[in-house]
Amino acid sequence: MNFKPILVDPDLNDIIDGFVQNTIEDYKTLRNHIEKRDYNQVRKLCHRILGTAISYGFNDLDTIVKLIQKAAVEEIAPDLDQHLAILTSHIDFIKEQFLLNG
Amino acid sequence: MKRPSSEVLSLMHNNSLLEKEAWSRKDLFDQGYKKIAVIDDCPKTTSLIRTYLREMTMSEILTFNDEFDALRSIASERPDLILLDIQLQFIDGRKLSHILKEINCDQTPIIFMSLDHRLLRNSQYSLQKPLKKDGLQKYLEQVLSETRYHGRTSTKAS
Repeated sequence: MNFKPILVDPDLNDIIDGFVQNTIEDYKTLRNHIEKRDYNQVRKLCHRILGTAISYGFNDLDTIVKLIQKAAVEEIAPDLDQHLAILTSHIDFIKEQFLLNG
Repeated sequence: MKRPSSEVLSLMHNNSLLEKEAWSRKDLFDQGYKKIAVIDDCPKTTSLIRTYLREMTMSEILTFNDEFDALRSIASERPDLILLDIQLQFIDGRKLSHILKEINCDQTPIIFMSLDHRLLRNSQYSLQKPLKKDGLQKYLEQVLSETRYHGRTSTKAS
C-alpha cells in the first residue's frame, strides 16, 4: 500500500520524535486490544489517537484509525483485523520515514 | 492635622503594599504577560499546545497530564486562562472545572477541549480537536483580549 509522505510543521520538529514513539506505543496497545476483542478499549484508544493525529500532520493515520474506531463501535471483527493490517503497514511506513531516516 | 494612629498607619502601609503588588501584577497582565494552564491527560496534546503557544510572547505555559497535579498547582499558580480537556482519565473535565472554580479560579476563563463537538455544547469557550495552530493561537488571543485582570492579589489577601 502506498502512503503519502507525512509533512510536519517545522515548528513541531522538537517534539515530533516523541509523537512518533508515542504513536508506536499506542499502536502496540491498540493491536493488543484488537486481538483480545476488547471493543471498549479499542474505541477509547482510537479516540485518543484521533485527538492529535491531524494536528501533527498524520492524515493517513487519522483516516485508518477512524476506520478502526467505526469497526469497534459496530463490533465487526473481520473489519477490525483488516484495518489493523493496514495500520501495521502504515506504522512501518512511519518508522521508515522518521526513525530509519532520522 | 491629627496624626493617624499606629493601627491606621500600619493598615495604610499594608494596603499600600497590597495595592502596589496588585498594580505590578496588573501591569504585567496589561502588558501581555499571561499565565496559561493546559490540562489534558494526553502528553501529545500538551506538547503540541506548549509548542504552538511558545510563539505567543510573554506567556507562561503550565501543562498537566494528571488532574490531581493540576489541582495541586493551579490553586497557587492562579493562571489567567485554563485549557481543559473534557474527557480526562479520572475526573470528568466539567466536574474538574467546578472544583477549579472553588479554588480561586472562579473568574478564570476555561476553554473546554474535546474531539466530540457534542460535549462542547453550552460552553462559553470551547475548542474542538484536533487542534490547528492558527485556530488555537487566534482563539486564545481573542479570549485573552476579552479577559480582564481579576485581581489575584486581593483574592490571595482575603
